[in-house]
Amino acid sequence: MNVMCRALLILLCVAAAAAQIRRGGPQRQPTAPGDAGIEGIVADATTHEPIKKAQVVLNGPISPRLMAASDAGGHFAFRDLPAGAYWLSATKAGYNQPQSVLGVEPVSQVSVGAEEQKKGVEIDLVPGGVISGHVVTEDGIPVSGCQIAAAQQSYEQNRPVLRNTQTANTGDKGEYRLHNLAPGRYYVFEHCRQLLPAAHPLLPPGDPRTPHETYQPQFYGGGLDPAAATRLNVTAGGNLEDIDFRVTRVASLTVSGSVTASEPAALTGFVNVQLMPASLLMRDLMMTGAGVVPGGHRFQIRSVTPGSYRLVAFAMHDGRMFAAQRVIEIGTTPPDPEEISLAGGADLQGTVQFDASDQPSPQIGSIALFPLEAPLFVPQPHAEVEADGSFTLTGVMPGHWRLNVGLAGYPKSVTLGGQPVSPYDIPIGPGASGPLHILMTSKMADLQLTVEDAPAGGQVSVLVYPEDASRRGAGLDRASVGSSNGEIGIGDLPPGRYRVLATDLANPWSLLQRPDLLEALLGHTMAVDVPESGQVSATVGLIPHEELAKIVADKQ
Amino acid sequence: MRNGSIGFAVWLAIGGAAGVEAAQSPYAAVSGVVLNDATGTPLRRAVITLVTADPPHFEAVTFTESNGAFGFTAIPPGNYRLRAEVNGFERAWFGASDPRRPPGTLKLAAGDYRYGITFRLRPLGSISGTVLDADGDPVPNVQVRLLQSTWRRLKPAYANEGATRTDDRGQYHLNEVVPGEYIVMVMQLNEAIATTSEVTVGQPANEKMYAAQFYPDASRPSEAAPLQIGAGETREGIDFHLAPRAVARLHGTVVLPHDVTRSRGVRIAVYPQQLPDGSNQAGAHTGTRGGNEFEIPNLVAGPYVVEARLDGAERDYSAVERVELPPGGLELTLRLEPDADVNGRVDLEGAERPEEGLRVALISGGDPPGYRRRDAVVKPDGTFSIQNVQPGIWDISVQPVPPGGYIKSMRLGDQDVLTEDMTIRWDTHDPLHIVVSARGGVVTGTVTVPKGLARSPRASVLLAPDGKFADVLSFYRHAYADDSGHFEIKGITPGRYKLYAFEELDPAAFEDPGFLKPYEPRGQAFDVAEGAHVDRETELIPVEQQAPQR
Repeated sequence: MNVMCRALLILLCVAAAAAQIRRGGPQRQPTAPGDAGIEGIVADATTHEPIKKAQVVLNGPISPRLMAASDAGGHFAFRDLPAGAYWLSATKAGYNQPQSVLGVEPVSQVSVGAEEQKKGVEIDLVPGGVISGHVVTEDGIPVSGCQIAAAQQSYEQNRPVLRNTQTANTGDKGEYRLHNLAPGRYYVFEHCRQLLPAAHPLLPPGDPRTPHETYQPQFYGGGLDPAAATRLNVTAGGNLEDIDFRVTRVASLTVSGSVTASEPAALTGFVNVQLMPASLLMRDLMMTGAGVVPGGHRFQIRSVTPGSYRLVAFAMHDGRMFAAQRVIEIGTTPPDPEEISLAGGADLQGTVQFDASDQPSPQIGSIALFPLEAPLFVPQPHAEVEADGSFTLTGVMPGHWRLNVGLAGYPKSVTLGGQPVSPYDIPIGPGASGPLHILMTSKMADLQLTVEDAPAGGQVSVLVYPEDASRRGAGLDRASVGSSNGEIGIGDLPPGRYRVLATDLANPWSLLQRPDLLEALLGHTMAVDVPESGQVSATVGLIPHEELAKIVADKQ
Repeated sequence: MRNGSIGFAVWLAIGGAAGVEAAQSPYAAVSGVVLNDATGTPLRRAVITLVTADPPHFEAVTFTESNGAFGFTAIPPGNYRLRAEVNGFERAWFGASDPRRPPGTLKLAAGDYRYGITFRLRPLGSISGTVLDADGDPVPNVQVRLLQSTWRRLKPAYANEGATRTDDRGQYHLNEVVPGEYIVMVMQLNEAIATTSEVTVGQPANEKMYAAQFYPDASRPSEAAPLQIGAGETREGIDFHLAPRAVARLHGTVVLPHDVTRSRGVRIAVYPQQLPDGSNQAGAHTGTRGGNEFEIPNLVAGPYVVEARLDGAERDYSAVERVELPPGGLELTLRLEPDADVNGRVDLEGAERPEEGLRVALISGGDPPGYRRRDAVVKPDGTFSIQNVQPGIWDISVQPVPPGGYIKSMRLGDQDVLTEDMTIRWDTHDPLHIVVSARGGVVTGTVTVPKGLARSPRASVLLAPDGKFADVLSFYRHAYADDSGHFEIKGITPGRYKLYAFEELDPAAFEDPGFLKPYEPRGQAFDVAEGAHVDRETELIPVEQQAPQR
């Protein structure tokens, strides 16, 4: 009920009397000028042409940070600086920072001494690429409001996923334009999500029998299978036009149902319900969700097209997580309502013991479980290990978990309910029937590496990682920088077969996040077998960074 | 295609309906065509919805074929409305050539076949242009908003009708613009830009910002040149030239109430006073710079409303300050006060408590800015308690009011908040007492057409309070007259009223306090007593005698 009386316009004056206002703001101590200087240019990384009006930010022993705009020749200069170490970065709309898994840093560090005038600093920016096109119906009518995503292959827990890197919506002529794309290979994905009316006889508005249609989502090149889709190669500043889609109308289905819980308290707050493709690869591209009003218990997710999905529901209450998930198949006919029951995590008891022949010094440690499987929102169970080696993990949800033992040593063998399990992938069912017995050993090995052909005085680094891909990312991977004589020592390695890669780059560690690149580099690595509590020496050949860059570029 | 549960069929093709022998049928049928009003060409795959005119509401849907034709058959006799819509065109109701006109009613008897219904849909327009900086270089990623000037709570306001961003070429394109008058606004959110290539420590900062601009490069919406967009018009070249402005910094300290120990996490929101709602809202938290301080570094000088809020465990706190931010920046101290609890009761006169229960909601009246809603369930004993109501102006809603009933009185302590704004202060303790009566007045009547005019008496009928309550928006009532000019309005608050019958009416028009002025001599005031039934005749105000709306 809107109530308003113009004659009595009451101004809000609460706190006005109490407020104090002072002009000018606080006087902060400005940085005292020095006599050093840094100047340089911002340039296009591919053509080395100057870039004008780039915003150049200088951070360092100055407050506040300084900012300059490059001139028509790409030139910028910071003067009267105190001596010290500075970080320079530049941004310009339409350009990206250079990116590489081989570790080129977007920020350049520049150190200046007193009275030093550093000149010729070049900051490179990569011009963004463009993908553009149109979305039309089978009859050639433009479709507005469709979401188009540029997606790149990425990895999560060593498993491939497609990540949305840029999205755009189509305009009234069905046109879209994805811009500012970093060079690389892209899938282009159309997901219109529109809820279109479908012909039906008289029904009450909102009647669940009311049919709807939507447009079938698809990759450029057709279909929902990325393996069969066309991947587009976007170059720096490249422009791919006419990447067009023709969309077909399909029945839009509604996934509805209700949420129950093993404990009523779980439903007192907001329940989040999500529907995601069963395939992890597609999860980012097609995830949809619906909330459940507190106390309402019912959910409805519309505009769903046929396929295999994972229905996930979760709620927090009093710091506890309640969750449930189920794989559901959606056909072409309206699905039956789903009932999904939230369960709180279970307690999992266990022990940690050391090998009888092992004599570790008394330790205080902890046990944690890391979720291997989507969804990742599940809290990580964590427990302190008691003096007698016992522990109780609380709130363990069903799923696949990786064991993380915060004690010196490694888990040599693990049993769950008497059955041997891999510490890298422990399947836990509802109720988390334990106990979880962990047999540890502190007998680890040291690896002494000699890098052949190490450049005199240059930088050398090595990556050491398990040959078995399922063990990667579990605390067994090592990256280390060696001295200029090419000698690198790596300690405390659990036994097993490892691969070693050596190169003359400062920080190639992000290669460890890319199983596809590690696979491509296999022929350039060396296998090393590490025994229990041994001392292993090995000599490894060096891959020059140019060669590494070429292999990476070919793979991308 | 047959749906057994409903018991009748819908034919998608006009070809099927054309030859129907309807004389013996217990059902009715309608058919027609949808055309592009600008070109006269048929529109295919337009969505046609048939809706029952009276409750309970039912609706059926069909589509036009490639020749623009549509048809429904096997319609149970009754009164219906018919709607046509397709992407890129303005939606239309049968019998209403303009969306401000009341929709027509199809009275269908058994065996009726209404054919030849023609919808002429107006194509939507677009506005496009480029945003450039002072050197004429394109500025990407600038927000562009489409505004329409309107009235809200008797004050001029701007309604958001669309938004987009400039692309990497600085270009923007606002789609699907309904014919009308618009203002185009651009703004860059709180982003400082350097303007010189050489920077020297100890020299004044060279940073500037872009402020909101209104086409053509005006700094206030009142100075903008409105664009008149016709049906299907593609307006190009609506370019902007952004002018860099000095950066002003807002630095402040929040003084916490003595019973609050937490010193972090007070949320600060800044609203420019002269821009449309929600524009250029900047925010900050205390604690990022230590203690109870906050800083919003990148603002343009001008008038702002600064609001601080702290959500406590049981009690929320807030402070609101109106400031003029000078180019040199400002130092501000905000004192948090507890939000109030509004307790009260709802009494029902002559009505039973509805089965689904009653709810009382408070909806912010725009001062301080931003939309907020607080509500509570009325307990069986009639009492309610709405917690944590921020100081400011609040409108009151009670739902559901019984059919034919009205809100008889609302008082906050001694103050009448039915006909005056309710202002809550942090120290407000007065109870809110609401009386709902089942005995609202009823006004029925007939719209007459002036002699010599061949018009339908189907009008938008506005019942307007007359005299001292002319500004109480909740007393206004609106109804459509049918094809014979009959109308009925129930649940009227007793008082003095005038009736107006407009051929075209914008639903928000009466929020403009000057809107009814030109028509006042036409209306004859009459009284509606509690529970009374008044029958009146009122003459149609033809569209050519109406003042422009909005």
